[in-house]
Amino acid sequence: MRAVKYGTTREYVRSMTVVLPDGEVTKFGATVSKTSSGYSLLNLIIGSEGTLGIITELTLKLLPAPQATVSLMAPFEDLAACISTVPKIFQHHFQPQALEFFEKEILVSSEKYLGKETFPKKIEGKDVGAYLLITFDGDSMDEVNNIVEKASEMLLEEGALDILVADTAPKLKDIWAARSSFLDGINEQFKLVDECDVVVPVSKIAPYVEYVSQIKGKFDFEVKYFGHAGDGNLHIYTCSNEMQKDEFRKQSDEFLSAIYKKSMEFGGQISGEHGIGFGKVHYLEQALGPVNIGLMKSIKKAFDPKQILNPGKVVVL
Amino acid sequence: MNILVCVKQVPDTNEIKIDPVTNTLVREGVPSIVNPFDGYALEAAARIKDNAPDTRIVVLSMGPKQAEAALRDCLAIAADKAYLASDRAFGGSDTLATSYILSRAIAKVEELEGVKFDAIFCGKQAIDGDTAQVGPELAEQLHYPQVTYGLEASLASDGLHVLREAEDGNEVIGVQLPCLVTFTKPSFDPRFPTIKRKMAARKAQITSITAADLKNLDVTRAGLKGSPTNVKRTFVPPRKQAGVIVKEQTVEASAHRLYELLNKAHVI
Repeated sequence: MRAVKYGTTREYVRSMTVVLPDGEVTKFGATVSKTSSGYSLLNLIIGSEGTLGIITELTLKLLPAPQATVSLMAPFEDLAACISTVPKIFQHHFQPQALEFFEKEILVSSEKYLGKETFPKKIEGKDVGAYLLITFDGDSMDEVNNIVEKASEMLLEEGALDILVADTAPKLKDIWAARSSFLDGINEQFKLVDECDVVVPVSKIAPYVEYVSQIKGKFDFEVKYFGHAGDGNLHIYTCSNEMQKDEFRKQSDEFLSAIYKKSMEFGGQISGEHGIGFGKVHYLEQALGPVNIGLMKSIKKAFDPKQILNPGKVVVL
Repeated sequence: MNILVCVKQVPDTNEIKIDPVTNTLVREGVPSIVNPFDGYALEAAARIKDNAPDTRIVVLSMGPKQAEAALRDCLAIAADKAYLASDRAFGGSDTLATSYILSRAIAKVEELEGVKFDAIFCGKQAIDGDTAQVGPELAEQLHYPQVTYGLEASLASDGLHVLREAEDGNEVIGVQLPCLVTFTKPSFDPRFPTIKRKMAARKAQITSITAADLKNLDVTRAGLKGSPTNVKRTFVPPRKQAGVIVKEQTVEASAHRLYELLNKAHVI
């Protein structure tokens, strides 16, 4: 969630000890703040999903925890108005720590799962269609309050129906609990669920979501989505109770192939967080093409010629 | 309708620091919040206002200058106006002295507001002192009927209807106005402040009330001097270990098992 401001864990890994498939123990990286010393084997291992070596020790860079944190909940009439605001938050240099978007429907199932209603569904007679959830942090409450006020002004101008503020520990907990239970809410509601976590450039979130909502009507399952609006990472779920498993699988494949293809067209990637594993091997091949997949296979061969580590995952030789 | 909500700023921790000399709370350096039960009282008032928009909600706190922060939080959530009763003469008050000062301060607020409050709402207790005495004592000082352990309150033709938590369920009590109600945790959470209210609250004027402002204040009934409670020692109670429930298939087996356990513990 906090990658918007602080980047992903990858950026905090300084060095690691790795056991290679042939039993050699080696160290990649160093505890220095910059390096220009050959290929970054460190970055090659991060995200390799255990297919190149086994990490036995990690050195991470640490940051002091922020002194003040405030979250804002901004309800909008519809998703289009909600998402189109996201790039403007960055244009104004508000530097949010986290920035999430979701529609009312998924919130309702999550609140039902938690047995607690936190978010307003109607504001001054207007139905809420979608929400932005934004967190700002800083060294003092005054500093954060100044950003919060400026950001709120902008959000209200852009069509937010109101701005609710969470600046105490219990309110912060409540406001994020509903967001954290989206997946639990989906899993409780549906027997068949498949998902993807595509990532697109922030400026492309709106047209991408529009594309997904256009094509979802062609399929028999329901499609639910929410996402880290701040980094363009979207979680899209296909869900059904009525479909036969094989038919669900077949249609899900077709749907996922289409939306992966679209994400690549928009300059995105097929996974922002979850990785490739077994499930997305053939989608990765389609997405990256023969040249890049060829290089990845060569890397796999160089590290693990006998294919003893996580065979069949990420790239298949 | 005019509602006054009494709030207290409390330390946001279970490990409260105590001044070893005066045996009173040291509030400096500990993050402070609005006492959660007072937050429920404010929410109950706000819900009445949702249905009767001409309701005016006034908050009153007794405490040092920094308690203004708690009052600003209340303004951001639902209060229309805030008053702070603050004076060295009030320091060290026990629940009796506090309820006495609050009763005098309420009279002053009523004079300044030009109204008589229809209802006084309080939290059932503060999470620091945990006495649950100030609300009921204040009702006695004011000679008002009181309802304790309120969950929700609604305006009715004959006064307030208060849903209250009882030992074996909930009950609705009708009470005539003016009255005092203390509130406990309801099933819902208090509302979030909106940014507009928050910004207005940051700039709001909080009216200070001192001992000199209170008519007929008997100073011998205020502060440490006016407090018959004598705190001998304050300590954090040790955590109790979880008990053991002996539940075997039969009563006889349970008795045997209990005997084994007691014997093993060298109790019998």
